[in-house]
Amino acid sequence: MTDDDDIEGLAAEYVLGSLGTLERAEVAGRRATDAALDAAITAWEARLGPLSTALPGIEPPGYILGNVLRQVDTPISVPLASMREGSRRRRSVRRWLALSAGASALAACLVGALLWVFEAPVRIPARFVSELEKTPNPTEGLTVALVPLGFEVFFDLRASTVLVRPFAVPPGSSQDYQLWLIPHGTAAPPISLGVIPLAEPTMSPWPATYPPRDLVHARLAVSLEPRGGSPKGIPTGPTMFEGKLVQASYPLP
Amino acid sequence: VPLSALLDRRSSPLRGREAAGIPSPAVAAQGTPNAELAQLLSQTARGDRAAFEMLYVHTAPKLFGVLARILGRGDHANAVLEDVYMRIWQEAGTFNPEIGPPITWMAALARNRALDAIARGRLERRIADGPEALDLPIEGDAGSDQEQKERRHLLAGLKGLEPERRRVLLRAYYYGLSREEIALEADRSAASVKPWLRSVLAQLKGCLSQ
Repeated sequence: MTDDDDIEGLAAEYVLGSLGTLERAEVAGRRATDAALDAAITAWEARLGPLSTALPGIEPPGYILGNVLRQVDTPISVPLASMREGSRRRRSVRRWLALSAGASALAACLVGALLWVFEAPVRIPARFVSELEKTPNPTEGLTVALVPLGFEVFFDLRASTVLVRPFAVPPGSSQDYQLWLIPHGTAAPPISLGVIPLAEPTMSPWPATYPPRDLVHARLAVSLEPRGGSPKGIPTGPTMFEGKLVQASYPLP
Repeated sequence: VPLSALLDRRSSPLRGREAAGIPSPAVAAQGTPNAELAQLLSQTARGDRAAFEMLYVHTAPKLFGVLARILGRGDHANAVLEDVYMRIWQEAGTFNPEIGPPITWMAALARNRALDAIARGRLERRIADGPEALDLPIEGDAGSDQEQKERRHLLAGLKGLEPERRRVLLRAYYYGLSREEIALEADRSAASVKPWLRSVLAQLKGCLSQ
């Protein structure tokens, strides 16, 4: 969390757009739990908003409306499982499972329990979740005694946030864990979602450059990188955890 | 109210409408009544595709103008515009008319998406060089009575700032400048720009509350 106590100044700069990446992410996350900050941001948006609407418009390329309407008309469904669970039961299952050793088969069931069937989808999913499990290591064979669940990553597209929740992941002595998004069906390199702090869950904003549909069928991976993250912008270390991104049926845990 | 009246003029290699990526007057003409936009948003929230399409037609140029100034005209702004309208399709039901006009809510949503994209550092952008890029006629009589009233109030508040502060603040807003970029604009050190910027914003708030 930012230690900036000047809520008014922080809100004003957030709306102005002058905060750096980390500070902007922190404010976006803090806003969800800090009513005073949220109110200050809303007030500054109202204060400066007339500037946005005061200038003449610019006609966008004509194809964009077609693209938007196609997304509206062709909702993406992810028919991956058929179980629906209440959030309380889901969390208790997850906690129990996280404490179970070598439970990769059960972890697959857990993923199933987190999924939602689109019976009559009308909208692009608003929430995605991924449970990142330890990548199998050939040298460890079948005697893995570690907790299989490494991280949970939760995308809330309505709130434009990404929550990364670490489980009992041992810290690297001089290395960091870095999270990557691997979009489906593209040869593009993985997209860095940043180095993961292990001490506590972290919330950051989801960039607008990646439309919601890019998350469908995407995968997430965590690699072990030099302190501060990969110097090359692409994964350089071994993949430690990975998981598939699926639609979540429940709000931010 | 010409915005140029609020800005100090400086020499710049970029001049005129073309340099600023300004559209033709026909495109610039906007001003759908609030009640109509609010109605379209309400219908969109209920899944009315035709209303959503109408909403796009009425508002896309305005939102694209907001995005293009921050992201530059090109694929990034196009992609973000698509994203913004998908969000509007999904979030139309969260619009609260008590907070402000519909177009202001939509513009804030668009602007936030553009700023997020910039903050992630994945976008290269071209910032028009010089205040002439903002040498535009503010559409003083466009929009609803409420919009016009709020706009006049804000412009009056901006007039309370010293010209240089006003110029930097407006460029920071329209182009989504970072503190580092603002430091260059204001010819200040990186260390001093944060307190300076906050004092400008606090001063503006004071002017607006008078």
